[in-house]
Amino acid sequence: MKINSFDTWFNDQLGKGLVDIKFAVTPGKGVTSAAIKNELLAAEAMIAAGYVKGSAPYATSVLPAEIMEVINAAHI
Amino acid sequence: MTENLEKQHIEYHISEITKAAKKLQSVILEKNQMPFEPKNGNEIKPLPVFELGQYSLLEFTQTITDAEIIWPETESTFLPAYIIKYSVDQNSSAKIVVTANENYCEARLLSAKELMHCHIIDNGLSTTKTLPEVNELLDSLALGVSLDNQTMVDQIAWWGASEFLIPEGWVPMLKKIYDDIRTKYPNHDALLHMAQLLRVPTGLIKFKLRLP
Repeated sequence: MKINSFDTWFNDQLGKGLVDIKFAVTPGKGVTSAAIKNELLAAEAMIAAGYVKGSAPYATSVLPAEIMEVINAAHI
Repeated sequence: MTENLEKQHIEYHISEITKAAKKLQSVILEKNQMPFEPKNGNEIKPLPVFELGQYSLLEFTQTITDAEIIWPETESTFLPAYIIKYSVDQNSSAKIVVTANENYCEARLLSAKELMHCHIIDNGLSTTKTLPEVNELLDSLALGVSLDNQTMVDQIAWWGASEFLIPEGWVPMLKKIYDDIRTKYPNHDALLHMAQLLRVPTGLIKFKLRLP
């Protein structure tokens, strides 16, 4: 599903009862209001098309055994 | 608003979110039988944010609003997460979207930050619900300037998340573990191991443990 403009999408959300929207933005070179809106529309299009991960992220790294020993031995 | 009044305003909200985050933290610690002031290293576990099988911040938030976290299969450069709140016929809901969902530690911090928005009570002063307000907020966030009510509440949510994820009572034990790792394994990246232990980004650990 393609969403044509942020304004259209936003007005649609208002119709669905939107009362507040907030963003976590990564500051840096190239960040603009338009770029943020485009990324939001891309995410919304993926969600609308069902491209959503079935499970939440999980840990992929483990603490080395020798570090676990240090942690387990720590006492105050 | 004068500079002095603005400062007082910020300090007031920081104090309120700190109290709210500590209250949330108490519930999560108690429900998961985790210690407020651990004496042994093996008592330290990541505070559940959205993890199944534990009483998480998400689960607690769901007692006050119909909250969900969505993990789209997309990548973003500038927008790692956002939250949209809805209200229909006095039923409230919150849709949290986390696009930066490849890194577990980052996803936990972002989710906690967005969930904090469900616990900030300001009588609607900081809501963003019109197109001009959205444009103003995005411009402020993109430029990293201004502290109007909308951007301020965002900073407050970050603060609340950082307070929530690393309980103050854990700091002495965490410092002890950090020092022990550095002493026994000076060639290891102690900060990385702390991040693996708590499952939060290293920057947050540096901030909370007041590391150089």
